Amino acid sequence: MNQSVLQVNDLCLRDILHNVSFELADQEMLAIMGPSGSGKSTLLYVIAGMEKADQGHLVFDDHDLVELTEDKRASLRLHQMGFVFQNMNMMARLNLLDNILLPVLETPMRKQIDPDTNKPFTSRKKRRDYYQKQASLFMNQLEIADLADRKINEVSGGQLQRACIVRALMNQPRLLLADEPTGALNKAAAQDVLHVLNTLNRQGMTILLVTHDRKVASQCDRILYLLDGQIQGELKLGKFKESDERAREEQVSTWLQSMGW
Amino acid sequence: MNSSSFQHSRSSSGWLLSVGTVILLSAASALLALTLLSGASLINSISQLNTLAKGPDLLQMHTGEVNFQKLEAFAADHPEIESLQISPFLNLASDEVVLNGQNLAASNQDHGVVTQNEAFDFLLDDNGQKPEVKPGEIYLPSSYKALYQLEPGLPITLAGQPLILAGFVQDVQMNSMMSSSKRFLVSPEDYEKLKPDGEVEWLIEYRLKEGGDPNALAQAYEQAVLPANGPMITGPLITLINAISDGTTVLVLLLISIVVLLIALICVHFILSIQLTQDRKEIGLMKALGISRRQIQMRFFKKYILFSLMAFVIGIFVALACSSTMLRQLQELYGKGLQVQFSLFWAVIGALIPEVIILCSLWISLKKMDRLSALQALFENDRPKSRLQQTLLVGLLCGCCAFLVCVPLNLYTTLEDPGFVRYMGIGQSQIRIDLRQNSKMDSTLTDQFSSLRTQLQNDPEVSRFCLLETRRMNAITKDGSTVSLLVEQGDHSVFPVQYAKGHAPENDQEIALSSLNAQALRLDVGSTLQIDWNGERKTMEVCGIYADVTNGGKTAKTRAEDSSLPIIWSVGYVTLNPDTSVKDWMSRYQSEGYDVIDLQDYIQSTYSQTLSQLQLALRMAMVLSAIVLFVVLFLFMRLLVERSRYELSLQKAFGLSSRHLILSEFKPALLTVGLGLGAGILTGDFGGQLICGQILAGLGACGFNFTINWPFNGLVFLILFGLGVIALLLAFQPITGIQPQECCHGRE
Repeated sequence: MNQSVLQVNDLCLRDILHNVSFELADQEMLAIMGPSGSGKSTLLYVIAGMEKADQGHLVFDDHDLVELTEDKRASLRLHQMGFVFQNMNMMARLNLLDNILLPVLETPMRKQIDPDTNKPFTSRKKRRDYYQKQASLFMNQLEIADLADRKINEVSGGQLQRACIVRALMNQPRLLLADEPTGALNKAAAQDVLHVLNTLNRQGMTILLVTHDRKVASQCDRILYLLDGQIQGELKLGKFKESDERAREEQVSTWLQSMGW
Repeated sequence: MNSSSFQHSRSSSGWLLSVGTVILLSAASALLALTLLSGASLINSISQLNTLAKGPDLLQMHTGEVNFQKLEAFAADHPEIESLQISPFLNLASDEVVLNGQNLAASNQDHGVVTQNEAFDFLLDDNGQKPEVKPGEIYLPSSYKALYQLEPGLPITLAGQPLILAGFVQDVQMNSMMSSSKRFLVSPEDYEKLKPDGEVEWLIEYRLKEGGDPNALAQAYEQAVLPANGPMITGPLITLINAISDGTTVLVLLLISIVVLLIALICVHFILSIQLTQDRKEIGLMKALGISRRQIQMRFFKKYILFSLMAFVIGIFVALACSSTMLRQLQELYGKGLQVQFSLFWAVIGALIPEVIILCSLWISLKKMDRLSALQALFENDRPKSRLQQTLLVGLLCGCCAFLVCVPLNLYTTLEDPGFVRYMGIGQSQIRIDLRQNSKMDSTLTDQFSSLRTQLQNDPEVSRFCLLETRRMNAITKDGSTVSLLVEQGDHSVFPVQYAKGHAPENDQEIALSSLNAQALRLDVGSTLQIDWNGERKTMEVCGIYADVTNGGKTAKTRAEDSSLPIIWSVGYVTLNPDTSVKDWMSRYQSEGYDVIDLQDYIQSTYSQTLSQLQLALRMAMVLSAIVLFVVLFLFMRLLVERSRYELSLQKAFGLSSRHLILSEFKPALLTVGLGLGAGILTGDFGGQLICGQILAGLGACGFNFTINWPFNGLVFLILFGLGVIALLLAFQPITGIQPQECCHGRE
């Protein structure tokens, strides 16, 4: 494990989070678990900059998000983070590809570098073509390339969530955040998505996810247990190997029991 | 999840919304553009004519002997006077004037024959040039072209002498039909031929140097006791009279523009708020993804910029297209209006202002999106706008549309009504008889007056009458200076005028003042005023303040008569018994040589210009109101159907029929439309009266009230209501297409 991507120190938010502190290392896959109402999703949103903490420090990419304005946090989120929602949050009026391209096409061109010229894009068409190629690569990787023209109501839940992951990757983020990424999926689809996340992590993506699913948590490098807005415990599992899957699940179950869940 | 029907309906609604928005914005732009264009053209035309024609700064009309030397001496004593001109105005009896076979006996205008002036006050043709009048030719006032449907080449007969109509002239002094005299331009040879058939009245005119004050000169002229047995008019008053005739319509257009802009603002904001509600989750998602607030705002704003741009262009075109109709009368009366580039300038400014206002207000609304966090937008449901709020909005819009029609309608009805004479310092009678000073001495006028009084007293067909004499008298102001008053003397209780305060003079110690005079003299009911009366200074009590928009609005009334002073003019008012033929009675008195006119015709001809322009504005208001009402109602209700789609689908799933659902939406909407229209009509009647009253009070029409034609108001209500019904039915029609199973796939 390498340097920290994220440092959280004594983070407080109203009566939801109390002095939360932890670090996220580069290329680590960290899960936050806890019962309903523990504040785990709120913690994720604060880290994503969608909510502002009252106190503490939240350092990401050398910026303390607690000190930043809403616009600056949004900018950091757009360019440095990717977010995967539990209920996907795709736009019904767009097809899959357009949904995936949404973040990059909404970014001002002056902030996007054309790799051919090493200068900002000057043509919308050229930009779209470039990102469409990027999207195709990810979509191929996640086996949804042939669904590009489909509407969101014409694909399965698992396929849609994979499209959400591609969307989150479009701006080449340093950190991927996922809020219950398998929460709205059936078993098979959840397995699919989990496999994708693992693959991405093995490829070097730093992932912080919130989950109540032991199976998902067991495939992460580390788990933090959040209760009543405070970190109560930590379980280090190390890098996931499929051969260890069952043993890790049992280990997680036992640990969660000891945490009182 | 099959939401294709929903998507299709959303996209077709979106298209309708876009079209409707552009229509509303275009209407707002077109109207204000037309208003500014008309206003600028009016001001420019009058000013241009005044410059080209070199209008007088002061005019005194006088019948009888004129001491030229005294007048020249007066001019020499006043260095501010640039030029003096004394020109003859040969008064012909109206029945001596025949235009293409039409005898002008019924006209209330004084028709005078003149030749072209030498120094200033020129009569100009359409090209702004002094026409060369050949013997046998005549040029008529440009206002007579439309009034009597005349064209060059037609025969004109003056006192039996045949002439050919060579063209029309613009008369800077007497263009407006509110001016009671009209000049016919002939050659000097023809003038000499006609001289024996008319009475010469002199136009004593002054032009001042730069910075000269016409009112001060008027006062000095009165104090110098110079020839003055006719009306005196200053240059600013001439401009005002010209402006009122056509300016009324510009004011009405401005009022309509403001109302339409308000409607457009309300509608556009409503549409935007609905859109933001529908796109709430999208907005939340974009915020969650980190897309900047500015970027998100621009997504919505860009569309409105495009709409505004389209509306701006359409507005300019429509305004320029309609302006030719609006300005035709202006151009006939005052010559060519603005040059093309200035017309375009005012049209552009007028079209731009509403769009800027609307875009600024939309931008402010969009910034409210800042208050909505990503999480709120994603995970919290929007509080639906209360039905009450929506109902009030629809009602307000219907009310605005009704208001839009009512104000010009009521203004038109009021101006057309015989009762309007009460705002002209005249009592409401059927007939007016004018006795004018002529070159044969004052005593003849007095004799005419006495014999007319006896005749009317003994006439069994006369129900009521009064005879009034107007004299010029000196009054002493609060600061001790002397002002000249035109005082109408006689029994004013027979046909009272409109009194804003107090009453008509009831005894010889009382005097009533016109509202503008009362303002100028700083007097009110109960104040005292000193008047030079029969060689002595008499103190009189101000008993009433009345409306008078004529003669600059500065007149007074007393019951007492000061016979020591010369009569400027006398006038009689008569109401006949119900069974009497007004036409026959008038013919009888006309044949005896009296100048008789039906008062309704008097008003019609005095305000003919204003009425014709108002009629145009009224038609425009009605068409606009109908379109706006239809478009707005249709859009709003369509939107509401879209928003309620889930609920409607659910109700259908329960088993309720389309017919039932349509009726349940239709009935409350119809009630809202009816109440809104009714409230709008009442507001237009009474609120509009207040607005118009404030404006007209400045012109002397104090205590102004609309003459409301309730059947007409009822007709307006019915027409708009009918359109509302059609709009509602069309708007609710998509309910039949909503499928019950739509709700089973979850909310969209």
